[in-house]
Amino acid sequence: VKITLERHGNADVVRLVGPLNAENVGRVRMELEPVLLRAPALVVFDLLHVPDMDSSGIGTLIWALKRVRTQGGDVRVLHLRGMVRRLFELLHLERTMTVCEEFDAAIAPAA
Amino acid sequence: MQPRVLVVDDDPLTRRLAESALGSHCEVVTADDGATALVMARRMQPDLIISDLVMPVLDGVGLKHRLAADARLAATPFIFLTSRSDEETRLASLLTGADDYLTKPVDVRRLLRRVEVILERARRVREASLECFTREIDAAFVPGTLPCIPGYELAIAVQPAATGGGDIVDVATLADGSLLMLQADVMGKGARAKFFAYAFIGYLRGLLYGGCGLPAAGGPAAIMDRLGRLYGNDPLLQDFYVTGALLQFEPRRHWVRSCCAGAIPAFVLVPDADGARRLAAGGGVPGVFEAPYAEEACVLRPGAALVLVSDGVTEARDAGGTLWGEEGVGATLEPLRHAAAQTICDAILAAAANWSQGAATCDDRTVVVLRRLAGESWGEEGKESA
Repeated sequence: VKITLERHGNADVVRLVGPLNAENVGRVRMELEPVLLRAPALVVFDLLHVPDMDSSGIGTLIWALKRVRTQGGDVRVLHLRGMVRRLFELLHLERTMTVCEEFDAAIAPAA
Repeated sequence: MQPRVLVVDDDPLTRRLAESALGSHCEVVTADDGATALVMARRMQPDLIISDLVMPVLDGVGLKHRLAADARLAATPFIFLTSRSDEETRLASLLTGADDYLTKPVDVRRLLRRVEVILERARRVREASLECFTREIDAAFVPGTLPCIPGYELAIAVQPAATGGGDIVDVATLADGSLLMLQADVMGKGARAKFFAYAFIGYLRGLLYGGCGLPAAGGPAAIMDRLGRLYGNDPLLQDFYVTGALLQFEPRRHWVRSCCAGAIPAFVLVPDADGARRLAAGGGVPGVFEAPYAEEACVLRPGAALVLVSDGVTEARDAGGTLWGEEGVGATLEPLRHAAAQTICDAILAAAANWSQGAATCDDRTVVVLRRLAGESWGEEGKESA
């Protein structure tokens, strides 16, 4: 998986390209570590180009969610597609993380 | 992921040479004295340390001794790379427990080869010890002896993953005679996931038997609520999450209460109807799902079977990457309405293996079947039925 980090206002946008699975979550977590250490207000995972995710991948999103929420921030996910959307539904994660379809809504400050 | 090598030398030229020689095979980080290296090693847990012998602040032998005293670093492979070539120093240095002793100027190909050999040996030792550990812990995840329930068959079949999945099955008899069945899957793989799974079972058993300072638990939804709160707040268990289905079964009333926490909802097969009822009520991943869990109940009529499968079963993929899915399980169950519990277990695992064309599984595949024998009518029938 390729990971790109961008800042948009208060939001840290994490774009992932490729499957997120047990093989690469260690590296993804290492690359996210500096972002999480800054106590971000909002982290947005853009999953448009993530065709597939296994339980380790989901575990990594939940790991980030817990880290960010502990520091008073929040996590949103953008562009759930296909199998990843099904996985979110199965795990009821859409009731735990805000799911967005539009980039502007995803990076908007909380109302 | 590339192995991480810490090179320690007060000579900048040697550090640069090592970076250049190893950089395309390893992630190389450097330190210019033993004390700095010790701090870095504690922070980054390198796969290998290559160290000079004579350095300011803390020399190579001192560094090796300090590493040996640190439980997390004692087994880190270590090579001395020094200009001291006398046999006495060499032997004394190797007595610290170092893996190799190379003298400068070192041939780059020789250094690379030694690094490869030592990293490979360390990897094999690590894998062998993990395999031993996971084999022992796996045995604790599936009950060795299943309870005998008059009028019922209970069967469990597990196909372990090639790389160490995290499926758990636990069956406990409660004080009121009911049976609690947990089928759960730890998100993540490897030894740490196994440890998490073991801790999860510990929490569950603590709740069931009135431990953890809490009163004995209520139904499956109440237990799941408490489990989520307990381990969701445990700082040691922050990296792993579990999904699962928790069912409470009362044999006398043939009554099943189910709470599905992010797992594959149970299938309820009845002999005289098409399709299968699904027990989907519940909620999300325990520990992060904040709403109260829901539960639902049904009564198992004679001949009905309750079937639980882990996501390793539904996530079987064919050669083109297509998932077998819950649809595949449902279709396999159709002709098995009158089959014995063990036959159903075996048929599902065989069909999943057939779908993935016998490829090694990357996650555990677990099937649990509780089937009421046809013609059995003892006990008090419940009001609802499936």
